[in-house]
Amino acid sequence: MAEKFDDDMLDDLFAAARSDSRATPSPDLLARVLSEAESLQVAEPAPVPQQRRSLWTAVVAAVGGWPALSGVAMAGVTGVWIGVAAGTTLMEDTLGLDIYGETAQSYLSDLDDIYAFDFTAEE
Amino acid sequence: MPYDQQEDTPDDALLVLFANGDGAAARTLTLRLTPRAFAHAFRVLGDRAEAEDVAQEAMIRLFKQAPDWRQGEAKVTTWLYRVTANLCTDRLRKTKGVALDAIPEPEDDAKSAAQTLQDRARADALQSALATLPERQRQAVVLRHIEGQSNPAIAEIMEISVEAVESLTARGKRALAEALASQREALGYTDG
Repeated sequence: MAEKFDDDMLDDLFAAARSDSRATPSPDLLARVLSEAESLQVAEPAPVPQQRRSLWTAVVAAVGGWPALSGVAMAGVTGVWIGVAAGTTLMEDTLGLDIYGETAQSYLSDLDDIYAFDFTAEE
Repeated sequence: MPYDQQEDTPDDALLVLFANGDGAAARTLTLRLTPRAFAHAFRVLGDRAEAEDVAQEAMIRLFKQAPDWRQGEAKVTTWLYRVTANLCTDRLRKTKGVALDAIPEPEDDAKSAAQTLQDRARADALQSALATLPERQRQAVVLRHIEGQSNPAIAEIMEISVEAVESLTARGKRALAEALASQREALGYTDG
């Protein structure tokens, strides 16, 4: 019985506390908090999330980006095509001998004549 | 987004807007959450000036947290209550005493003067009784019975188990009833 009475009294007191105007913030406090909030927004704009660059992206960027890289790739493909299309016609049978043989001393000067691309050779 | 369109926006979404520099979000968050932080601090500390300092500090910490806020992980109000409660605990441990606030407030015109006086007397009596409780009991009682938080929410705020919350609030209510026993009649409560 007494417990019920205490509970009712406390419930009533809690309700009085809920409606107590002293638990309401003053306009001054709200203004101060808003001012702090605005100053924080000015001082600390949200960082723009930066994407992490992979090593490959960094390498591509270093050589001038994708346009430059496509030129390099094209040159490589062209070289392979020339080599395959020409077959063995651009190679002398004595290639090994020319490089490692007795005539090695003069092979650099010979190289110009023997291995230079000659697109008229097939004609 | 204009302020009047943000009334239904969840707290965590407002924090994201705030972090992106939205001025209206700053205003909405201030008006929505400062009263909660202040009311809790006032009920635990019993002093408006102290409660204002605590509420302001808690709100500043919330705004600073905004850029790193992880949506969906924690409820903003739970986080704010926890910070406010911890700041109150720090103050209570420093001052080791609670003074009732004496700043006069505007009267509520809707109630009679006698009713207003009685409500004020009851709120003061409760505040005095709350001040006699150990700080954890006081915080749990305020959160449960005045601010209407659920036991699981209080457990999260106070970082204890739900059972511990139930124990704190039960013991707190018993202690309040004992502290107020001698004032029942003066506060207008008669048994039977």
